[in-house]
Amino acid sequence: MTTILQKKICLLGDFSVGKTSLIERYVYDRFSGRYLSTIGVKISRKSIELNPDTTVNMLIWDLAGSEEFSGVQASYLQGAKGAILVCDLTRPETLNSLKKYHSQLNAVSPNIPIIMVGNKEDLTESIQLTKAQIHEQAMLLNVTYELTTSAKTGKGVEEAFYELARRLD
Amino acid sequence: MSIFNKKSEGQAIQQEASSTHQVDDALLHAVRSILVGQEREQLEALDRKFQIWQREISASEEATQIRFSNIISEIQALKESAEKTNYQTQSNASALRGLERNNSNAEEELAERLTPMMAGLIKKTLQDAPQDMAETLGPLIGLALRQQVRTQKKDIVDTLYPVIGETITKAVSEAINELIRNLDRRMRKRSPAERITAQLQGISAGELFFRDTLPYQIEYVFIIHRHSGLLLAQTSTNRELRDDLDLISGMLTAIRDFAQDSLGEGGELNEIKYGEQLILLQTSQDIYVAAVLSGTIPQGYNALLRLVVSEINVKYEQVFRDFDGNMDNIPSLENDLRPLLYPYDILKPTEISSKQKKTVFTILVALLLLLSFFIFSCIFTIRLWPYAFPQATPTATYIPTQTPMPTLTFTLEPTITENPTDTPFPTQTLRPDQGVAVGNVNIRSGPGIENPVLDILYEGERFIILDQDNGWLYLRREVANKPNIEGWVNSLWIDHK
Ligand SMILES: Nc1nc2c(ncn2[C@@H]2O[C@H](COP(=O)(O)OP(=O)(O)O)[C@@H](O)[C@H]2O)c(=O)[nH]1
Ligand SMILES: [Mg+2]
Repeated sequence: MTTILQKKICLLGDFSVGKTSLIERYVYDRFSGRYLSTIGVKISRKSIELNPDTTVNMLIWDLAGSEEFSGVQASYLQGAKGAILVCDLTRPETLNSLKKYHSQLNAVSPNIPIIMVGNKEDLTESIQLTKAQIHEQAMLLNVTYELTTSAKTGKGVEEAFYELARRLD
Repeated sequence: MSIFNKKSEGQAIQQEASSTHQVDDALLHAVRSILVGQEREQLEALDRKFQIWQREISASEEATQIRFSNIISEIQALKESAEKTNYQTQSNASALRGLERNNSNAEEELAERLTPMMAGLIKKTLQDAPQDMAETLGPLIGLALRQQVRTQKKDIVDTLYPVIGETITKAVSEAINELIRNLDRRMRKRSPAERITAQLQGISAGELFFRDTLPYQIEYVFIIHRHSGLLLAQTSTNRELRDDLDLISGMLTAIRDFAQDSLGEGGELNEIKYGEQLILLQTSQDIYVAAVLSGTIPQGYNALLRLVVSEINVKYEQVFRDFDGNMDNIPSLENDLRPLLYPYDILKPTEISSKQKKTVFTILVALLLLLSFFIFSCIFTIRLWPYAFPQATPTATYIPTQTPMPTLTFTLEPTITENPTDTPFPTQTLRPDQGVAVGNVNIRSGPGIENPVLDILYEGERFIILDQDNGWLYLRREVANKPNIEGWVNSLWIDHK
């Protein structure tokens, strides 16, 4: 009999870094160029078979955050077993913001696996963040795993979620 | 060869037969001239005529031939032209068809191109000058509608029916819900006494009956982990499980949290309405229960939800506390949730059962009896109080050492014959207009207990009766060292002749 694990995970990051797009790509394998800003929360689900005996049912909370708000609503982070911190490679300030989200997360759900993602990798012309910078921030925040992604091409998306899923206990 | 030649040959044969051979040609000729000269001429004329005819015939033959061929060629030409015309027609037709096609294509294209523009224009006009738009279109639409209604009444009814039907259904169900809320608010009081009060407030048995007969359908009941918003268990009346309840659970949790964070800790989200469906939420320590239902909430259902969720919470408290997402650790809650799917067995409409009605009636009658007894006692007491305890009236000065003796025994003083001027007590025999008090009694300004008390006439004090009125005596106290006060005293408390 397979064991089903239900896990709540959260995506955090500044306005328009591509959280919703990453989830859309991962869950529905699609990318819409349309700008659909998340208002509050949106929950999606994706199941991953980690091994023949275990399936993880990930409930992915897409949380809106912006400079105006100081982070996200704390109660939304309750019970989270993992998180993905997302920044936009074309906007350096979005990497800086991850500190804020990280400490918020830490206050509510400490010691959970966190993946850091530098998104919009396909916009090669306008990329302003280097992998080294991302790595530095990841080290600083004691983040488990970091990588660059593109919700548009799909590159790295599956990997990001998988790396998180297999760390969920 | 001509016909004439043949004939002359025949004639020659006849001549040979009728005359001798080797006759002189000239002679023969002469004889011939004499014999058949006339005929010969005629024959020759005939021959000429014949030749003319022949020429004519051949000429006409040629002409006919020519004419024929002319006709044929004409026909040919005609045919050709006909064919040409036909082709032309055909090509015209196809051209026409093409044109037609083009036309409709163009129309479509035009429409396609114009529609967004028109929509935009209309939208803009509507925004900028809604009044103008209304004024312009109003009469037109009105006219069109009237015409349409007149000519296509049935179609219109068919078209509008679902819309209007829905609108009416919605309005009615809203009104009913409002009524129900109102009823429930008044009936929320739990104790029997309060229920009776509610009955007295005017909730009729009919209303209650109505309340309990309203239809409802409980569709899903599910348990959500309060902390994480994860779905722990679900059940439904139609045995069909929804595969998106985990998402709904998460969203409900988010909405709950949002409401709580924005509106303050004191509040609690208990109800979400979505179209015809209603989601009821009841929270306990570690979990909360959500019920999706349509129709009218059965009375007492919220209380039942509360009860069931807290029972489940208590029963599996540790499981919920330790829950980390592993569904293997969650017991089946099917049986625990069952009462929520079929609440009718539990939520019997108590108010309408005849037994209950009888009880209510009995209690009401008992209350009424009690009330009337109480009122009677009050009146009785109030009426008799002054007679029983005259000094106790509010303005009377109570003198504790002089206990009132409400005895009706007349005890006459033995010294009444003594000199009245020497003693405070009457010394002379009572005159008919004289009396003595047999107890302490109020002297009032009028004949009745409602009149103010002027003074007190003490036991043994004498007085003169000046008047009397229906059991009350008007008297003047005549006691040494006391003012001679006049007033009304009840005759029960004095002794006089
Ligand atoms: N080129 C490119 N555009 C992206 C990518 N991810 C998101 N976007 C665009 O960035 C905008 C914001 O994305 P969205 O997912 O709504 O950001 P969110 O506010 O973090 O949820 C949208 O216009 C997306 O189409 C990406 O990987 N590459
Ligand atoms: Mg978004």
